[in-house]
Amino acid sequence: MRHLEKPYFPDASNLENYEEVVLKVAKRRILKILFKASAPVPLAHLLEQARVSICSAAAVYAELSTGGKIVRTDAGFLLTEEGRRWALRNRKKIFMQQLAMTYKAKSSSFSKNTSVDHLKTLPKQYTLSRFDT
Amino acid sequence: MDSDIQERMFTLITKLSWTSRERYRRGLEAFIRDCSTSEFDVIEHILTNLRYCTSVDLEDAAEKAGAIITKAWHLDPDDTMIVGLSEPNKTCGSTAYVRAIELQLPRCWDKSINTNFVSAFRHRDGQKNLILIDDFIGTGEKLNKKIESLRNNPKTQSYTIHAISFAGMSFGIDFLSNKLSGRLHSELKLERAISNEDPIERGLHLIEQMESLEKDIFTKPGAYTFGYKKSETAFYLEATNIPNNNFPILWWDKYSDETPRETLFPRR
Repeated sequence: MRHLEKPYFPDASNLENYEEVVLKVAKRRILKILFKASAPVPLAHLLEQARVSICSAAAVYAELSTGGKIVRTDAGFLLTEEGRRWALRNRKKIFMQQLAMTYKAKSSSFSKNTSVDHLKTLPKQYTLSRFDT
Repeated sequence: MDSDIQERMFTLITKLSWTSRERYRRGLEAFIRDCSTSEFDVIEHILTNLRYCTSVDLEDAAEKAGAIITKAWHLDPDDTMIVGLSEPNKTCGSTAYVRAIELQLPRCWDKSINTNFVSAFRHRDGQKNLILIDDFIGTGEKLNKKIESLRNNPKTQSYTIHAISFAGMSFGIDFLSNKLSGRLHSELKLERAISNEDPIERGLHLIEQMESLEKDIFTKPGAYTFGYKKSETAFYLEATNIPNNNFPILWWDKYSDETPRETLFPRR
């Protein structure tokens, strides 16, 4: 997910699916970092460590802050006690769900060895492992 | 990267749900890279005031347009033509709106609907009314040219012309509405995004910051400064070509030194 540059951006028919997967991964990564953190994590550090875009991070924050699971202070982001309990309760759903998507490659730079006219899975470096690290 | 701007952009994205979609990431990151703290004021203002529409809005507007055609204007499919503004062999935003309106009208209208402006007039026998459909009215120039050409053509000058658009700038709509004696409906009527800002000091500050930002993309002010003919539009209908009346910082894909620039919205 880190550097899905334009050649890897899915076409319109798969864009929403792609965005959904990106958001799930962002949620997983952000929660993981905040769960481990003992002090508030500044935005820049959160984006860098979680390797997510500012858009995904904001969407995750908007969702989780509404339920009181994350708070944003001047020093950074923090998982609340309620958020910790919720993450533990839902750990299987959040962290262990296999996320994968297929899309029609738009560019020949997608793969040197395969035809671009067929549905492909993402290259290995862009797939999401069972335990996303 | 300025962390203050990054924090402000983050806050902005949490407030505007459409901006949180991954498809807008590159355009938004370009704003963070390119803006100074004071220039970011105008980005915040434009994005906050930008009217972001989806296919749901288009459908709702088409439903109202259908009701206006049949119930307010009392038009009959037997003597009325509905015509989109697309040119031969060119894609056009009006086509989607014509289609959406078609789906809201009874089936008896099917034969009266044309997406292509030129070919529409090949089968015009017995028609009295004409409804021109466009997705967006900016200055009103494009639609006005069509109206003038129809009125100057002996074969079409007897038509009573109506117009429907999904959205438009209030000055363009007013100009065309006068031409059509009020027979124009636009679902959304938009005002200039900066000039109408109150208080005036705030407006002047935003103008100054926009001029500063546009220096990065234009070597000198031109036709698209503040949008085509200074329209100052802040509007986007999802998955369509953004109108050139919008501020060019939203869609101009080159910097003034001709290097490529990431844009928030596509325009071709």
